[in-house]
Amino acid sequence: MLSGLLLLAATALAPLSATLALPAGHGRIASAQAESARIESAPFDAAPSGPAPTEASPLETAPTEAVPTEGASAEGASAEAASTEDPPAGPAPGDDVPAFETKVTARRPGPAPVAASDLLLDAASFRAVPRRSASEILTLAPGVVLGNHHGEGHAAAVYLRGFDAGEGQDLEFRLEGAPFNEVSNPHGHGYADTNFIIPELVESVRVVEGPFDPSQGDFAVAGSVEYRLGLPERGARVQGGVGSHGANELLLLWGPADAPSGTFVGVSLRRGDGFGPDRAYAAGTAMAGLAHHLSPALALRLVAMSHATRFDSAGVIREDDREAGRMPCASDPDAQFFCSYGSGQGGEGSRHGLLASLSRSGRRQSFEQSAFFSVRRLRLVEDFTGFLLDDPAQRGDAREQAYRVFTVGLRGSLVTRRASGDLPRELEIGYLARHDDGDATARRLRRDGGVPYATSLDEALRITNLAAWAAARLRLTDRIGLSGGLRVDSFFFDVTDRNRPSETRAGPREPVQEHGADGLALQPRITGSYLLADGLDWIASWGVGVRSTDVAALSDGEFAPFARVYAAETGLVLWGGLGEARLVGFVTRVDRDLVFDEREARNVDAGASSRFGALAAGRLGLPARLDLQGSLTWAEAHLSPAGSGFFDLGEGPRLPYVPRWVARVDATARRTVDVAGERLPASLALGANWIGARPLPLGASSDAVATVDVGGRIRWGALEAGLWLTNLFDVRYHAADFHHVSNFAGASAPSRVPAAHFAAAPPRMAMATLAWILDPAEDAP
Amino acid sequence: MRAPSYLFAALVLLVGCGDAAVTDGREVAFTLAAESMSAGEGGPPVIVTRTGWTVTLEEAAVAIGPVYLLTEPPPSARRGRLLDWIVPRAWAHSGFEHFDGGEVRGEYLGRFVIDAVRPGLQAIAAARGLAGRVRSVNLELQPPAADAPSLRGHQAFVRGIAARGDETIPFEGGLDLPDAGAGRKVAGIPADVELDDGVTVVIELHPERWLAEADFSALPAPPGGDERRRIAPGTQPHDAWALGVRAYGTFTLRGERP
Amino acid sequence: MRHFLPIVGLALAAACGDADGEGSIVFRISGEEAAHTGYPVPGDPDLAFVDGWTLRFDKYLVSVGNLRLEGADGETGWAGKDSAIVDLVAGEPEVFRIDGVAARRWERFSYEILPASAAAGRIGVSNADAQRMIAGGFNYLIEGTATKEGRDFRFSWGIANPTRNRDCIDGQDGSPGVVIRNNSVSRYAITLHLDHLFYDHLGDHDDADMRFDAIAAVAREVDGVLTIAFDDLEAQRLADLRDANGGPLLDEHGARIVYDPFSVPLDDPNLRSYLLAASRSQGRFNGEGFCANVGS
Repeated sequence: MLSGLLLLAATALAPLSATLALPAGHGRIASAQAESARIESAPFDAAPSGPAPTEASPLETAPTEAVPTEGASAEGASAEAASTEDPPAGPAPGDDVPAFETKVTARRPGPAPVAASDLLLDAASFRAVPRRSASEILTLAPGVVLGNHHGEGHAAAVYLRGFDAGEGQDLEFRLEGAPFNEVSNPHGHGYADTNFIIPELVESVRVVEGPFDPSQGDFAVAGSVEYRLGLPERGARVQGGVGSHGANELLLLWGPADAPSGTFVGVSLRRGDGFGPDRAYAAGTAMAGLAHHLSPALALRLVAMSHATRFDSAGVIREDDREAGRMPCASDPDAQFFCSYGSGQGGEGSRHGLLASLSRSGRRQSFEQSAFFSVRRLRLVEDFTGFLLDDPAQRGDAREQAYRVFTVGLRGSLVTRRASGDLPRELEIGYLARHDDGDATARRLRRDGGVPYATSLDEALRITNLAAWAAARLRLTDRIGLSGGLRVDSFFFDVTDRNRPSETRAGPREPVQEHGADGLALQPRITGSYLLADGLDWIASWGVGVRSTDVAALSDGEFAPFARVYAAETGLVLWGGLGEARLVGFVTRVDRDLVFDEREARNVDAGASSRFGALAAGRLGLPARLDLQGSLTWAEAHLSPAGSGFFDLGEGPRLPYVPRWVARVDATARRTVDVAGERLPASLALGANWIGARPLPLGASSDAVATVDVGGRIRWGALEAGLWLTNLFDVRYHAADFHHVSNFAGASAPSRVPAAHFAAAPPRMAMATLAWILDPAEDAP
Repeated sequence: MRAPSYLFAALVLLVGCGDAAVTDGREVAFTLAAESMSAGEGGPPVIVTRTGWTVTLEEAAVAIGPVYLLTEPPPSARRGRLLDWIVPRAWAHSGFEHFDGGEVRGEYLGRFVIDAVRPGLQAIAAARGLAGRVRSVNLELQPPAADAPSLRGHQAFVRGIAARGDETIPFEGGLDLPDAGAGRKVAGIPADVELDDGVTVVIELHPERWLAEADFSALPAPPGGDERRRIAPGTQPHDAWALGVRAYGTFTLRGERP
Repeated sequence: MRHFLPIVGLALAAACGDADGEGSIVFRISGEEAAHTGYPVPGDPDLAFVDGWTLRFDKYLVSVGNLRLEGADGETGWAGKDSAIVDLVAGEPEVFRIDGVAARRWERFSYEILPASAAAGRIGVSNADAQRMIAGGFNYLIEGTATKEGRDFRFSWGIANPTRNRDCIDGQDGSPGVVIRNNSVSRYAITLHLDHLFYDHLGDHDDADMRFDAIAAVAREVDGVLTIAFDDLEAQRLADLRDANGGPLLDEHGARIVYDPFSVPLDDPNLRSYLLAASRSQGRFNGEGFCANVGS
């Protein structure tokens, strides 16, 4: 009820005003809802009891102005006709505003923020900034740096606030609440591949840069990322693209006019040769969503997805081979930089799944219940060392990791609201049940022909994660808010190890052995907020996050260990009419980081580490004109010496590869341009990244890297042309750096001193697109 | 409620600024050299074997390489009694397969022929490594890439005169080690050298251990009028030499600061 | 506020440790089948002497103790000073039981083969034998008979080569250390590979053969019984092994036999020092789990 009232208040008044009368309740809620509620019209029959487009509101939304979005357009008049009886309070046609508008239905508001770094990334507003995958949307969050060392079909490694979160090992990834980190994936426990998400269907991404909310689960060590799907631009779009290095894309998007943004269909087909040898790829994805109100308060959401990909990978190369020109490519510097040893690396993967959720919002009680299942298959071949590990025959070190798992799960939460006097309080209980059933194998392949010659892992795994949490959100006074809770995660592991020897000194034995283990982790989390002034909050949070263990490291009956992180954060969040700003400082300590050593199939205690830093981020939006977002993050990461405490910051050697300074600017400008007498809506977008010098092993540091991506679109009638340029200044930089021993040359007496290796980041690439847009209001041609 | 937040922010900023911590490790340039410890200043080395022979070495040389300087000490030193390696102690280590030498701090991947008769330092190469303590060394006895005249086509060569009582036996011979298993490997040479710029790492060869167990009377008389007896494969001195060339204590290590 | 305090209380009670209750652990000691059957071990062609000997152990006494359970996080689960003297031939008895250990994985398990002490427990060991071990500072006392071509050779060796076997790997599943389970007894075995004593080289064990000719060559007749005294083995030089007649020791193909210690340190390159070094590496864990054997 309360949140509904807030929504109504927000939409009835000028939605972006900072002078909302703030009722009791977290100030940020009102603004978040206000910002994202760019509602043009009620979605269906706009009867007074009509369904609301947003989850939280039981009441009908009041019609508001038409807000133009970039590149899209629809007849303003037809939009009016399709809207409610009230005329849209949008800009008059005489204003310098694009004449063609696309109907935009409401976007769902975010939940109440749980920390100063709880951000709702507005992916839709920055759609024009070139981003080739759903994971690149994460760069809208402050301090996020991505590196992909293994090709188009491989998940990107994420660096966030001093953490090398790997390809998901320290970051919880969710899609509409369903977690999709892959447990006990032999390539990396917690591997999270977002390639199955069509970036154009991402409405927003909620990022929490730390374990501060009891609903954050396994792998939320550096934080959580939740993708929320939706297509705010209604209508149909058929888009084809041709780009550098043989890149071809086909994108189909459809959002029925009379349905909310949660109802959509998207199909994406992409293929290309890659920007260097051994980088060809092909991928196809289909996603469909349905958002439907069964009754005014009861909403149903369905999402179905199917994705498959096949790709090659160039792997890593030695820095000294590149410098000396020894790579097996042409001798010019660029050819050497992008070269590959050609060990048949790459892989294929697929994911198919379905997600259903039912939510009911009420004045005193709301609940959400979702069920999800998916089938996931991944096979990766990688070779980091050449001819080093197979003593003495040296048949080749290429490692093939295969993972196939069927995941099914349930997730739900119940929120009850009471008021003690004027002060509201909410109690939430929630649960997660997730079961993964599948197989994991790891084998070594011969260099010639990729023939497997040794199996190092062959297991069937059945992992169940049952979690429950309880949280309370209180306002202690009209300025002070307190929320917190406790989460309990329990894990049950059931493994069939098929790779035991069949002969021992004690006689023959069966090579298959079963074992099981279990684990339990308690994670308290607490957040306090203080309303300093209208629109200015001071928020402090503390929480414990965990990462479970890879099953291959467990013995029968073992009480499974966890990597545990203690995180604290404080910051100021300012939100106002035109945008928001925040200034946050954080400290994180990982007490015992378990790193799974694939060669020995056991957990290695990587020791304690500490991270601290600060970030400043801001967002500015001039309606219909400009969206601007920028951030600057500073983070330090150190390996903590034994016996150090939580606040012994800065002691110990630096962790290498973790960026210390990261700055990012995203900007989208929209205006109409005069071309041959026609007024055409156009947009120009810019994404600029600056990553400061990164510490490298042996006290060295890499150069600072600055990259700029630009994109532009212009629309004429039903056609839209676009051009993307990524890495505009053609900077040569490393997507990932490594430091280890390798022997790619196959020398009989190889060097055993660790050497620098790297994977090249893409050079300047262009993509030209042409789209045919069908507006829902027009008759189909 | 406001003060702690500013305090915290200030704390974070204060602690963060001015920090000069770097990642672990540092590349250094060092020199690798060898020295024969029996070669005195005056004349060829004279060795007394356990079997009672007094051996004068006229020529002696052995090819070594590659050489790896390691971070982990050999097992006997791990308990902290670092000087124990000076007096050889029986280890429980079963050979290369399980000796975890840790990481490699420096290496030499080429081949070098040590002249066991020549006194003084024999420079092997300038090399790059990582700063830090070297606690053990693994070196291999692989044949040289090109024929070295002092080796006469073998991996090691020796020529000299052995005398015991009335007997005087001039001898010479070449040694070739099989490549199988640990045949050409000397693992876990104890060391305690702080590797840094300008340090010279000296591989000390103790050629007296080569033939310490040899009984030269077991050498068959040379055919014809040849005076020298050959230390040929299958003879006891050859077996003694094969064991001695890899035995613990035949190679030791020291570091010399610049 | 009413809901706040219980939450805080729960948070404070949040188990920061990684243990799930307590459990017990039992260690037995085993000389594998060889302790009972001697060599050759029926059914295993690798565990046989290549020079035609058969061998039976009458006693194989081991002094074992100073078990330590440590976690990779530095915590110590157990560091006792108990030791026991056990006869491996008599069986595979349970030697140690530790109760009340936190239920978790203890990644670093180590045990010592140490000089027998008066305080040690005894399992299947006579007073006289225990006294002999204590007096000599022995950690092994091995007695048996080796036979070739109808002739019996007896031996009774006291061996002093104390060793700490560290960071043992569980031979059953390749994982480090031991796992204690809540309210349960975990069972592990300290395994001694008795064949290491007879290997003909100390390098790569994969192709080492078991031999006895060099050892038998030093036998002397004592009271009408051919006896091999451990100290007599000093006379056998590794580079100049002799047979019983004083001639060079030859193998089945007529080639000279050399016991190659490679670069393992020996006090002196003789067979006695060699056997001391060879038997150092026989301490294993739960079958074939490797331990780093360190001279102590």
